[in-house]
Amino acid sequence: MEENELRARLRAAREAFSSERVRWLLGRSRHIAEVGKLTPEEAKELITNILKEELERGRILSELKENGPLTVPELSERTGLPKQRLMWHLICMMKDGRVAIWGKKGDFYAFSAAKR
Amino acid sequence: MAKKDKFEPLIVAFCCNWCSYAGADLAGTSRFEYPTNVRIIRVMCSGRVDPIFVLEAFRLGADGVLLTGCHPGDCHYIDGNLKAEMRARYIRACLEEVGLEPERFRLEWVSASEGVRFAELIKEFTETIKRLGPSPLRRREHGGE
Repeated sequence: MEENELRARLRAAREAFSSERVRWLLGRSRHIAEVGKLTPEEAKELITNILKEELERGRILSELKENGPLTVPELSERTGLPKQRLMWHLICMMKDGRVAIWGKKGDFYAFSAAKR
Repeated sequence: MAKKDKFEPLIVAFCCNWCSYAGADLAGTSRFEYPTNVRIIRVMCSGRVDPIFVLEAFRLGADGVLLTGCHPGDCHYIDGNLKAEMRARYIRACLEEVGLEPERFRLEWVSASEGVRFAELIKEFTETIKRLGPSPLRRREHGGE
């Protein structure tokens, strides 16, 4: 793997572990298992899946911070994620206030990382 | 090639104040020899180590990261080490996703009386990292592509 690609992935992982969703789940995972709503295996699977999702969102966010504003096709090219999945991530991240619509680039809307 | 042969890994070790750091101290005062590749960072508890610290260490060029804490049941803060154990599981999963070998990160329990074990652990972990080679972020420094 290219050095720059690995650095980008590490930045994404950092964003993922900074996200409220992952931090909350990691902090409550033992409690979730103790309450018995989920078995330890189910809790582990849930957190692993959310971590994977957040890694993808982290990748999007770090691309927007480094090279934004970007459109969906540009993001797809940079991250390798399908456009449909990217749209879903972007909508969820807009709802969380992590991403905002910056304006238009040609026919496409461009997104930027929201200032917090 | 000559440069590659001389590869000396850079290892960051987060040691808890109450057990592992005292264990490292005991290893030192007892004159047990262990490789000088390790850079120890004292933290009050292994549960204090955020996954971000580990990722940042790798990003800044560490070849391996070691997290050591008290044995389960001995934590000064009751369950900090158990929290560290749970986080370690997800740190390994994350490293695999990122594309780094999960063996580059290790969590171990070392008590204050286990100076010999601390020295052995550092020797063994250094060997593991030497076998894995330099971190992909430092490969160019060591003559890789």
